[in-house]
Amino acid sequence: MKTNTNHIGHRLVFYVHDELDERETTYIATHLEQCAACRGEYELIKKGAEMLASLKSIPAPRNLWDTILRELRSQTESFTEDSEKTHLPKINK
Amino acid sequence: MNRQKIDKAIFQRAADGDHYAFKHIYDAYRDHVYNLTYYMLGNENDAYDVSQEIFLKLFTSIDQFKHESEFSTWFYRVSINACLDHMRKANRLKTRYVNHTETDSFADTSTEPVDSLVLRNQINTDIEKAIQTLSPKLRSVMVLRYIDGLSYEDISKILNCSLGTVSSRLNRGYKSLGKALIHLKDEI
Ligand SMILES: [Zn+2]
Repeated sequence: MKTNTNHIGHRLVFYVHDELDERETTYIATHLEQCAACRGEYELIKKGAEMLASLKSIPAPRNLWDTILRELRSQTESFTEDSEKTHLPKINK
Repeated sequence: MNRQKIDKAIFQRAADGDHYAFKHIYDAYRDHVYNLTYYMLGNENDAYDVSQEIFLKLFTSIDQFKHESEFSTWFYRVSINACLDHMRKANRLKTRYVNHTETDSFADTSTEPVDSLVLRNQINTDIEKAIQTLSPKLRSVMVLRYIDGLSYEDISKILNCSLGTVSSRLNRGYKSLGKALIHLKDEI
């Protein structure tokens, strides 16, 4: 290993997400049982990952599309000659 | 967050200027883009403006793409960069308080008891605030991981950095969130 200690380091993130093979998973699990420093890190990382995963999804505001269309229309009108080249959507008025 | 897959033909139609094909792509990505901008920038006004900017950019560049995989990498890169540009311009790199008031549009919460709803909103606000304290680099990785469950490899392509950098930033980001939110232990 290239790290200057035998601690787990940022591979803990793979462990938290269960993305390691069996051999590495067993190695880290054993290390965590014996090393309080890594165990402390692991608890924080696990907590952070849970927090991120629990974040609520916010729906995009309903009027966002209308605002975008309005802006596209104004661009299309001011650049009528270039509208073919820039592939702006064809808007039905 | 789930996302509808976009068929190859839709990109072709969009490149030909088909309004409905654009709307289809917009519908597939609008919540992802809005959540990305919201959690990167920390408020609804900026999220709205920058989401608009991102989609306008998409509509003038859509003819570059034939497949969704190359498209989504490009699109998320454009989205993150638009947020970083916005932060730089507005000089808003410092920690900000996030005042999130929109409580009536969240899905699947209407049947929960009020106490649990209030608690969840409070927890969400706490997590939002903690995310806003992360550096833009850490925040980018966290937000990409959150909004589309992107793999380390996808994130490394989007941010143009190594897999090691992604995992190290994710590790640090989680650790900061964990430290900031340790008081919420077992409340979720
Ligand atoms: Zn250790």
